Amino acid sequence: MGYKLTPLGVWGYVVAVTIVQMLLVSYQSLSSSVLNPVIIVLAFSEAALIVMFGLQIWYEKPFIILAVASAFFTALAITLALGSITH
Amino acid sequence: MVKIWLKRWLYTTDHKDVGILYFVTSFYFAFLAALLALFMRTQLAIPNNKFLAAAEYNQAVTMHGLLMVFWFLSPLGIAFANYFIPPQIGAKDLAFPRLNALSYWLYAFGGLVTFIGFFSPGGAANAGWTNYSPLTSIQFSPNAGETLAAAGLIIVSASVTVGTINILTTILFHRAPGMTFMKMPMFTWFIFFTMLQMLWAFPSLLAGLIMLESDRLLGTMFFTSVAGGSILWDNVFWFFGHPEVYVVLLPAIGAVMEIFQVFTNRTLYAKKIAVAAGFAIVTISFMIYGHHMFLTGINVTEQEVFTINTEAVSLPFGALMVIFVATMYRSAVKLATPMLFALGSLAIFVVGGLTGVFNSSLALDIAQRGTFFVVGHFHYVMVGASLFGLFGATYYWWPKMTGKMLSESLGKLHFIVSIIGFNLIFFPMFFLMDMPRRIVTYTADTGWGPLNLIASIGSYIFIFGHLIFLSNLVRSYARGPPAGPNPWHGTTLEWTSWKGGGPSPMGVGASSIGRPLLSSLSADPHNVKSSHGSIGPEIAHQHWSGRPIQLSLGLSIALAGLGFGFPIFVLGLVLLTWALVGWASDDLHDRFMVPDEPPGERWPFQTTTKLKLGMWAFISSEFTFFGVLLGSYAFVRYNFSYWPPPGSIHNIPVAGVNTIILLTSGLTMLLAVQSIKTGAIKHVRTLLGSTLALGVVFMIIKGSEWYDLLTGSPPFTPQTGLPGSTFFVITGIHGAHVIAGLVALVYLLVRTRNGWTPGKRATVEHFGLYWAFVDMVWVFVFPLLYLV
Amino acid sequence: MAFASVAEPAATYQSLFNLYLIFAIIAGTITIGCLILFPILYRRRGTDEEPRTEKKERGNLKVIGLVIVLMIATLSTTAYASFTVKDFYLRHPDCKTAICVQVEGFQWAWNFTYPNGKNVVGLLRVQDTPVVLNVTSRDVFHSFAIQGLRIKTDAILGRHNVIWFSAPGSCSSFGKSGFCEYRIQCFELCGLGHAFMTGRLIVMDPTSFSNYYNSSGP
Repeated sequence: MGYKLTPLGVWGYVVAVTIVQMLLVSYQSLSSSVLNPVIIVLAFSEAALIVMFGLQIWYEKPFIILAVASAFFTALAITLALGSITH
Repeated sequence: MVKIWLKRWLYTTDHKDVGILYFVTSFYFAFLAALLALFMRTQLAIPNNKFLAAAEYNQAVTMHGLLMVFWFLSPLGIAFANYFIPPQIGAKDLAFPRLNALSYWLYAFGGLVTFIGFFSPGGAANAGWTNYSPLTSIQFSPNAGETLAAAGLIIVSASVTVGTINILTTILFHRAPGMTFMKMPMFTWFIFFTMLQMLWAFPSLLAGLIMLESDRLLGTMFFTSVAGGSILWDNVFWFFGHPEVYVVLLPAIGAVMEIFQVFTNRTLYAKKIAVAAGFAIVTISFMIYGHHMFLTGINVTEQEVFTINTEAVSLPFGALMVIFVATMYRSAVKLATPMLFALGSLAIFVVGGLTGVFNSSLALDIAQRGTFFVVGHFHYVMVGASLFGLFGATYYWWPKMTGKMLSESLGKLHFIVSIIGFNLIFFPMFFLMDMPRRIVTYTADTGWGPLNLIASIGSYIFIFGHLIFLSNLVRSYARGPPAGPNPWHGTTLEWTSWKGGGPSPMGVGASSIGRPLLSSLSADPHNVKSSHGSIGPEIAHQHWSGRPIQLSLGLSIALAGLGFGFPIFVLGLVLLTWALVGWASDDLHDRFMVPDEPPGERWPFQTTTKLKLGMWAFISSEFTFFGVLLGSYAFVRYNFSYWPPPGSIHNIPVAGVNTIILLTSGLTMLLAVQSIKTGAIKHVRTLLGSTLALGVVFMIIKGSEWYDLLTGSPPFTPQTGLPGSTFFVITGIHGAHVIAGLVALVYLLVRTRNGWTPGKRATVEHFGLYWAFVDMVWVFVFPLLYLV
Repeated sequence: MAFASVAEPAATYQSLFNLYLIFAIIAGTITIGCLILFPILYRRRGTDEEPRTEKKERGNLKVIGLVIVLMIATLSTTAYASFTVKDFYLRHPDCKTAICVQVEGFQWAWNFTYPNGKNVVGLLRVQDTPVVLNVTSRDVFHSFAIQGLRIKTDAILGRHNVIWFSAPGSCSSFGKSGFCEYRIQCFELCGLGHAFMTGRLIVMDPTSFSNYYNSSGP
């Protein structure tokens, strides 16, 4: 049964975060300039868990090279492009 | 006999055969593109010339660029990679032979789809190989040619994605025992670098092309909106475009390194530094693309960063030049044709690289941008360094590929004529800094006539050099002197792995075409029964597959249908489906058999499987693809002053529930994978079925969501503005990935209905990776599109 | 402001170019020289055909290190010089001391609008005081340049890019108008008429310009 705990744990977290994200938006208690970064950071935390366990990095650690490299080049693309917006 | 010959070349999956296919096809496209160049130079030779009209010239300059970059230079490097990487690392073949054939046929048909534009109404693509927006929008380029060119490029992106996964997995997984990374030959190393660049650069192009076709065919507004459309294409294209030019260059540099070592009779100076330089080039090349955008009005700080980074990329190249020169120091240089071309390549590269430094300056670019100075620069690096290096590789490896020697005197003549012709064409361009690029003609009072005339004369001389080359190849193949197994005394494995008498088992020329079953799978001398290694007919037959060519044809016809109409699109889809079903059926009945590679050097992936590594490489490229797509979304939002607030258009609770459904399907899939790993396989099929069911529910809810939006009042469609464009395209592409996963799940359920083998368990694990990735993307898409 | 004795900011451009050129010629001559010389100096004599037996990694890193250091020094100099020149290019005068003209590129000509609303296609007449150009596009991606004065900027729909210049008092190219003329041209492929998307910059003396400015003709 033990092998079921991790998937259930991951699932529990991502479902909970999804609900939290929806609640944050529906109550609009904070301004969007605060809310949006919080929601995005929560999304990153969900992605990290999925990458760790769903994409098996936790179990086969060498793949982290590919994960880090992909993240690096993608972040580079997005940063450089968004940086080009300001005149 | 013709039937067997045809079947062999259409159905082969052997790496040497696929290498030959790439080789021949790339020169075919080069011939077409060179003709276009000749037409252009003829037109520009004198002022006010009437040889080509503006419409024809614009098509010529666009197609010349596209064909040369995508269908000649890069595939020629891949041809050599295909042929020689397995022997260089001691492997029998590439990791995934059918995928290898697939990447070739996709490339070949993609080229035809692009080229067919010439015969479509309105002519071929004519907006430059860089496809700047808004010129490429349907409004300003209504001709099908542009749609077809983008379709051809999409097909090539698919080809490249498949090819990079294949070659990367091969290099990481198929090295023979003892072949550690530092013992790998330099050519293999530089192909490795090339593959890394392709892995992360092409997804950006693919994302851009999908958005472009969506703009052209669906009325979306990614690149046509005033809110940053042009600049978005600039960013997305050049993030790909800059690494691409190194993709075109690095295989040639790798080949030059091999040639240098053989013809100086020395090992390369400071090999570790050369490898480090390669890694530096890969990384830095992604950080410098903004030098194409210096005058677009981006902020100065970013321009300064791009100037510094672009200058920085010259440092590893400077190190490489020192390495080449130092290798020659106190060596024993033999100026055979391969070495002449290698030296020529480097000398020309120096000029090209130095003029690149001029272009790296955010200030000097003010005068140089869009002028023939830039044309001179990039032809020096692309034609000069890359092409001359690949010519050298051809002369170097021809004896191994065909078992014949090329004529040295014709080769030296080819070199002399080429280097004179080349410099005559492109050196004058550095003095034409006032002349804009891509102009069909100019007036006499500009004074540009004399230099253009020299350049045009040079182009005829250069072409004459190619004719000498062609005649050398044909003569040698038909009746050239036979080559021994190692005529140049090379020390890398492709030369030394065959020590017996007679021609080596490698090489097409070792037996005549038409004799069946030529792909030898190993260089083991004991397996050789005739002059060409023979394995029994059954095994070679099992190495054939018709699915790659069928699949490529189907996909190409379908994408050509984007330009030619819906019926063609459907025809292509039918063919594509048939090929996919056929491929799956082949696997279900184990019809395709390739001998397993014995375990060798696999660090750092010793404990994983080949397919898992391949899947991970695929996911890595998909990550960049979705990243660029979502990044484009962020870009247009930042540029758009108004965006509908969350909840005003979309139904958040429904989307939230749908998200949870998808995440739950991720749970069932992960449970299935964990069950497989712990051996508890009793419920795996139920879990797979649950994943399938939840995925189907997700798509149904998504479909109804789309239906409500499209038929609402007012309707929310891809055409109603950027929020619509981004929403439908992003969720649509994600949805397509989900559907692909659901189809794969059906296949998995069918495949496992008769019990489990280790292979079937592994397939479930690999699919689990893909499904987790699809979940992960949605975890970003949901908040970005619905909540912020 | 008095008129410039040399074109601005073009004067800074040429000295920057020369700086890069000197470095390039030195580096190129040395490297290509080695590529030509070494095969001759170290050519294979006799029977040095034996396969290499040396297995040790060749080379100490001092040479490479030295070259890298030299390159960094050179490239830092060039980058700094470039930044300085670009900065000068960016510091455009304001519309009180300069003539501010709106430039709109379209397929396939340039439209100029003066501060007083006067509108001309294809011809830009100025006097020899600073001129500021605010460049945009009506349709596709163009690029506006007066190469002779070494200025250029991209013309993009929805964006306004500002450049400036000051024509020199002495002239090198007189045109049909009888005044000093410079060619204006488009430098980004923009369709069928790209090669013909030209214009003329005409630099007049203050009196002639004043007459022109206040008249209604082109």
